[in-house]
Amino acid sequence: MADSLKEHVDTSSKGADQFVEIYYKLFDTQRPVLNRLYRDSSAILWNGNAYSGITPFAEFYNKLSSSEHTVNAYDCHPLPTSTAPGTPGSMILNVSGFVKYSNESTARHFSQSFILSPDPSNGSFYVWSDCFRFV
Amino acid sequence: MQRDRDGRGGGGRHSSGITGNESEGLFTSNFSGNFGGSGGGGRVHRGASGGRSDRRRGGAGGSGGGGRRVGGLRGTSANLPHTRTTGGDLDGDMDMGEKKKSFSTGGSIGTDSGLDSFLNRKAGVKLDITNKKPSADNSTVSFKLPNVEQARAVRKLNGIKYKRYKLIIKSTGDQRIMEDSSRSTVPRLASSAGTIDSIRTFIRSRYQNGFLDLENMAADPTLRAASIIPPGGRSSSSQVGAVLMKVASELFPDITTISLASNRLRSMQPISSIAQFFPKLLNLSLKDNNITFMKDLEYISGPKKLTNLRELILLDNPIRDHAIEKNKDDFSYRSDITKMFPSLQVLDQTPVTSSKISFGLGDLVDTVKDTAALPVPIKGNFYDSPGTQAMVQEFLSSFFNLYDTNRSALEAMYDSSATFSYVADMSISNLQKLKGLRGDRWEHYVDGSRSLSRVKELDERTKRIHVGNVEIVKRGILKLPKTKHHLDDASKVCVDAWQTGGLLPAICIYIMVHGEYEESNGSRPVIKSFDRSFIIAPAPPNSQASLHGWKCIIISDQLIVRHYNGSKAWEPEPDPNASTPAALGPQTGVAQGGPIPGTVASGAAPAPAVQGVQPDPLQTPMAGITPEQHAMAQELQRQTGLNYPYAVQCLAAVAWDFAAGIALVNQERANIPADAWQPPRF
Repeated sequence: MADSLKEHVDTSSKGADQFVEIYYKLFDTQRPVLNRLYRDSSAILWNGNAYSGITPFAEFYNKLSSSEHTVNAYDCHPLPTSTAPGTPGSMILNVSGFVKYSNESTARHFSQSFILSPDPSNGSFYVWSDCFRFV
Repeated sequence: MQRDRDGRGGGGRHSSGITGNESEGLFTSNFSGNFGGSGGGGRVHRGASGGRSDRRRGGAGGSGGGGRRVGGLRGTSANLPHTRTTGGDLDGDMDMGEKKKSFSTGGSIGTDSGLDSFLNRKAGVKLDITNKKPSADNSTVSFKLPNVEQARAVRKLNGIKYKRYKLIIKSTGDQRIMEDSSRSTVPRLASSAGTIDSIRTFIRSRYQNGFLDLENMAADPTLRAASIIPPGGRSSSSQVGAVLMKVASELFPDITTISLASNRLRSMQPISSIAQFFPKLLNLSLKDNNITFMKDLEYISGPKKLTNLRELILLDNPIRDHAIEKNKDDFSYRSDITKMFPSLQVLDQTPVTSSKISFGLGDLVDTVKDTAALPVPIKGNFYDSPGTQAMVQEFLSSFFNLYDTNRSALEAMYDSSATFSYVADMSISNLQKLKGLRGDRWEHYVDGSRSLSRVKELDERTKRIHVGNVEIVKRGILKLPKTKHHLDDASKVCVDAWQTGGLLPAICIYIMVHGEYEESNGSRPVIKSFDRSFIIAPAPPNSQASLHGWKCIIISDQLIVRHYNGSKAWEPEPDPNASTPAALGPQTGVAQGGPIPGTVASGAAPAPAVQGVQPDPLQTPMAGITPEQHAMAQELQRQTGLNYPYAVQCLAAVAWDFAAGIALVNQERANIPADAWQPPRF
């Protein structure tokens, strides 16, 4: 069991490293590419505003000022989802950092919590849910 | 997986070469095949010898100037003593900088005026002596020299007679200076053109078909004849590595494989220019060197360095041997190395296999529009249904009550495979600095803090996540400072929660809580802010949790603690759009919640299952089914979380026998596709 814990930690934490690096870079510089990280079934909550799927969320973020994120810390847990052995399972990933919007003078603290899950059709991971709050 | 597990010392090491099941690909022809002559055959054996420190070569053995290099040890019995390079040594670590030297004699050397000119005469190079400082008793004088060449020249004079003194000359002080190889310009050797010619000859002799074999350069006759000390050798020039790389890349731009085996390299710094001159390098062997720490490899890893590297060999380096000794296996070592070199396909002659998460992103370019304000108002607590809200509020109040007063009791609330970890985010924003925040003390959190941005090595990442209710309590939450949460003040807490539909085998609730607590350690209580995510599942009947009267057990608990930052950030803003748009679908979301009750629900009967997803009351009945069947489908949705079309399909498959439908869903859960589930309904 200890070995598979290490393997789960290895896969999930490396996935988290990758995701955190890509996500905020895209959000800050190429937001439309984010669409590939979400699906129509993604559940997105932005400061209490709910968006069911990437389409309404894209409408929202197109109106959001341009941003600059700084990630201070992040952590992830692999989740006990049922996937074939050897294939990575879902995970929960929490991020804490600062975000500065171009139309505001000071940065805000944010807390963002993702659940990332493999797309059954091709194994790519996508955002199953995304919960973002200023804190 | 093939491992080179030979013991050290004595006895021959058996061949670790190619066997039939070895991974395919270049390494067989580039590395194993090239060593030991006959292509593709066995490996060269290591000569019998004692431990690592004895494996220093004798003479050049049988290899002539242009001959094939024989891999591994020479097997000569004339083992030269091996001295490890230490911090104070000059091995190629210096780029520019100052070396301190000191003389000690019995006399009054400190004030001797002729010393400088004497040294200049004897050293053979002009010395720029600065910062001359005699010791208190005048028997020693120390001074600085600006570069390696002068320092070496002076050091050679150790023991020389000057007037009635015998000069003892030593280097002192730290001589390490970082070299930024990404910005290196054309390297210069402070030597004659003859040196470059020798280097060219040397490189030519070591090249064949895209493969540059720089193994054991210290023994090479061409270099020796020209008095060129290669990288990794004592007193080698800091630039010789860069010159080698530059010359090689100019002579043979098609090099895809380089071996730097057996060069006593500890840090990659002397040859860090390899990344600059061979950005497309595919295969690299660093076998049998002194690479000890991950940071030693940092000079050649990173976003702009060796991004095409396919194969790497680090066998017979302390970094690998120590890791294997410590862990009894190489899993963590391989994980850490493949992380540094993400393009690797083969490491230490074994294919890199690991389940990797990929995101399926391609390339796309677009721009971001700039607009005036946050486009939507900040809203308060979010729950996807009243059922969720009730469940969550009860859970949070029980949980934090016990967390504050009796953490051991929480053992029954965590699942036996639950995960818990915490992170101390110690950053301070500019605004906080302006407000005078100096920074709390975090010593109780730092050792176990699992911020993956700081904790990079697999072993630590694994150690800092706690699994299972017993471990979580014993080694996780009991080790954290005592707390006092004030959940009764609704404005100081913010909760977002919804059901997880088909994500997990049971229908769970995902919760994100933001708030603050008082740390009651010691004299002055400190308030900290936190963000904590939970995934909770229905408590199984007859579980410890049920017996305690809890409806839920915890599957995942992840805590981030930060400097106190108040609760203004989630204060709801008035909504400029008075009417909520219908475009998002039926409104089942409940956008507010009252203060979380401060009492623990104890002694209640074991709970019913967590409510399934709310079916859509406006759902159009599917064509061809009766109203009763429609209602049955919606009930199946409520209890299982399936979406409407699948619920109908399922019941049709069991001839509308409801119990059979439930059984079928539970039985086939693993095979039900993701799009059959109702996503959280906002």
